[in-house]
Amino acid sequence: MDLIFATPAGFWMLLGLPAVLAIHFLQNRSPRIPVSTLFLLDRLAEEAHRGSAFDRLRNSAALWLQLLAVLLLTLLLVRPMPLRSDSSQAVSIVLDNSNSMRAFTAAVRRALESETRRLGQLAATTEWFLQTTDPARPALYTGIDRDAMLAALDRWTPDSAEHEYTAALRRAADIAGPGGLAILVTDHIPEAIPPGVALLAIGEPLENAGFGSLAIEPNQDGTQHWRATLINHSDRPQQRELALERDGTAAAPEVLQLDPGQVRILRGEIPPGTGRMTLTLALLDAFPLDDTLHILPPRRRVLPAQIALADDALRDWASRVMKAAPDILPEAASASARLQWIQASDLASADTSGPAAPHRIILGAGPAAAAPVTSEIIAENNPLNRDLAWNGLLCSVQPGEPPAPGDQPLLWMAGHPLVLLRHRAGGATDLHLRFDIATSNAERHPAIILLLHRFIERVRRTLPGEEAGIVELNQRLDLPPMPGPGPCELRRGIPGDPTTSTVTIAPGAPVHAPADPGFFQIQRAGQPVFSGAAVFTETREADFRHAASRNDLENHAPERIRVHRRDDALAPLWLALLGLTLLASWVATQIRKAGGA
Amino acid sequence: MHVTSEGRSTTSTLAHMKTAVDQSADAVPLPDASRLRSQAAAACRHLRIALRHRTWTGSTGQWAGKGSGASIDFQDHRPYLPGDDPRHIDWAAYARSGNYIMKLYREEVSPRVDLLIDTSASMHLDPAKRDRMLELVYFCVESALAISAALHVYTLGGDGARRIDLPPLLGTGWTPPLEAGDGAPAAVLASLPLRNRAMRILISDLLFEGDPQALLTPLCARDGSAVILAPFTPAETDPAWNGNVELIDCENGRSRRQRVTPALLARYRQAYASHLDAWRAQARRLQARVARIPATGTLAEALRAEALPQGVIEAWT
Repeated sequence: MDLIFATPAGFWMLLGLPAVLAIHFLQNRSPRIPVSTLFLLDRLAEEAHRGSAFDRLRNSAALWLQLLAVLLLTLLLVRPMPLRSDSSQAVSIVLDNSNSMRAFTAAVRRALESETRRLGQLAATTEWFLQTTDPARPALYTGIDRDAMLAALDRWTPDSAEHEYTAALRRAADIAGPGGLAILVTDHIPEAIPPGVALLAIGEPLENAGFGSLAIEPNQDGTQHWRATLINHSDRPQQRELALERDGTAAAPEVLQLDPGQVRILRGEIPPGTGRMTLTLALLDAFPLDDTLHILPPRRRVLPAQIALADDALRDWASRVMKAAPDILPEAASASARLQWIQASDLASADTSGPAAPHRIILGAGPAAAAPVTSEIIAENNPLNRDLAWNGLLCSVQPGEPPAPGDQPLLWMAGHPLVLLRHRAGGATDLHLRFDIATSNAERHPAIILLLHRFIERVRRTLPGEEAGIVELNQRLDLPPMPGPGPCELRRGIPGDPTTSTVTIAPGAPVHAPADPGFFQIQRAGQPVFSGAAVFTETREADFRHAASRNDLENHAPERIRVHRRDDALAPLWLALLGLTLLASWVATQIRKAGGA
Repeated sequence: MHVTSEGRSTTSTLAHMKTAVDQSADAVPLPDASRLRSQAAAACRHLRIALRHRTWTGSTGQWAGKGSGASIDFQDHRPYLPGDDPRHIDWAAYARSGNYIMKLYREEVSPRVDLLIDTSASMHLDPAKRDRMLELVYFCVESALAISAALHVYTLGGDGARRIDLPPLLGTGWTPPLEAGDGAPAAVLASLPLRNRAMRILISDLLFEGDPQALLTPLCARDGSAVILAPFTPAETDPAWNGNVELIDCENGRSRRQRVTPALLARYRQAYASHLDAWRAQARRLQARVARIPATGTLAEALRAEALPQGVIEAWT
């Protein structure tokens, strides 16, 4: 269609057609003629008698002229605007990738199908950009084929937690450019959106109730229990049926009553030897993500560590640091230890060769060659000391040998490395605190404690073996090192179940938990490295009380029309015809009156 | 059905008529009875109702009767029968033959004339038609009185018939009453006490639906001689309707919206002619006569147009 109307409200003028007809019906009364008899006519003209009401209109020139005038006036009011053949536009559609959008994917499809059809008519060529608010995801579609764009929309599944999408909207507005249109498709009305972005909100309040969180906690006797919250996100009481399944055995369901806005805490024991448990809420609502909770008892690798410090004060401090870190075996044997605390003065006697050499935390500096110096601390950009504040650390650096190639200084003082990360042959790493701990306030400085815990956790991750745990949907996973060459696979479902699906992960690509709740397993080179249960705990995404609808595209339509359309060149002709028609109608009426008189 | 006798009719009768047509805007003016009667009298100087074509019965008068009587016109001879008046024995015949032969003379009677006036609304629709009807009434009355006929006058309306006495009829203020009804006088006519062997003159436009035989049969019953004088106007024979019109039946007020085309108008004229042809054909079968009298021109001209050639009236000097 290459013709649209700038002011469709002008079509209301068509109501003038029945109005003119009614006026003529009322005014155009036939002359009354008394006759001697009608029976002769009754025999002749039965059909003409029935059709006379319409025939009466047929001979009125004034009527037809006035009807034509109404049509011409309607044409002038609606302002038909032909499409410019050289017009083009870019429409950048940004889909809110939040999980809450799963409740409205059908509504998004319907809304975009109709809106894109209308938008596509505004210009001769439309280039579509379909993307999500997740900046890490590639665009879903780019091109001029609207059907292909809608097909890409069908394949889209929102799977992100609540996130900031202003940058994605600004980028979409930049893509659309001044002649295009950027559209945010979401399920609520944001407080503010960047200029140049039109809002297409398609949400509506839903009565949702579901699980809000899950935690596995230890008991006093060494066993574990699970604790989950069940939240009613609606303003009306809700009733749900809770079903528990443990390793394929289902317990009797329980009916739960939830008051408006109630947060109910559920708790249950995890019997020893339990593999998997599943909590399910019956009476599924429009948002099923939070209606199922998968429970998997966590299993973590334990880091064997050894404190080889001669100084009692340092030894006590190292013990406290190790005790604060999880999954540490602090008194491991020297042969099996994978982490060792050692003083710099003892490095000469330490055995650092062999593939089983442990990672080390080295305290203090070597033999003094110069007097210690104190100066400002400068931090390097490294994951170990990221976001740590070193302003309060009071220490002096011992000038010594410069960093060797491959060393990674983390902190500098007076041009000398204060904290150094050194990678040794065989894969082990040393974290060297090159200052005197005893004369500094490092024992009480939180940045030092956090730096040490980060290093310990990094070392613990290098341990081979399988872990198990509960993770968020789509959570990025830190996996143990590869046991050997081979592909990395993500298997969804329970191992051994024929319905499981397998996804091969590209080498080097980050590994994420599944986007849907459920059990899964990560295998590398055929060996399981992580078994997990993906759960949805984004309670803000499950609250649909503030979901709403709004369509701002209509506000942008006149601007788009002005850009891509031109005014009807025949408008002056229609105006002249309208004047002539009205004049001719007046003349016809006068002639008719004169004839009647 | 009943017949009432009207002693005197007044001009207010027309004003109180139940009429279906709203004629308040163009009310029909009252007729000038004296003028119309003078025109009828003028026509009677040369024309009169044709009575020569048959013999009549009735009281003694001056018109040749059907039976034998005391006139000077010889009628027949027959043998004398006991009881015959011996004054009528033809003695010359007795001398020649020796038998008593009776000499009979024609009877002279006064003809009986029943004048029936259709006073339905259609007869009053047009002033010219109404005046022509009144002229015909006066003409028939004058013709009947001229031959000393025994004249009975009735008006026929939708709700019955009324006997009109001659004195008010011959007065200066009589106007034909406007009768309500559907304009079909056949049922009224069947109940009228029409006299035997009388001449029945019906003045009607014949514009009502129904079989002509239903009206002509009682009109010709009991050896009566029927004559119908049908006044008409050009608006009835050749109406000037055009386009969308609302036609009002003056008899019953029924309305009909009609778009009139030339083709429809031609079919209407044909239907009107066929309607009158049906009346003529039925009249011929019953030896009655129908003459249409135009409402235009003088009465004499109107009578000479069709009534005189058809023998409904005759010229005399």
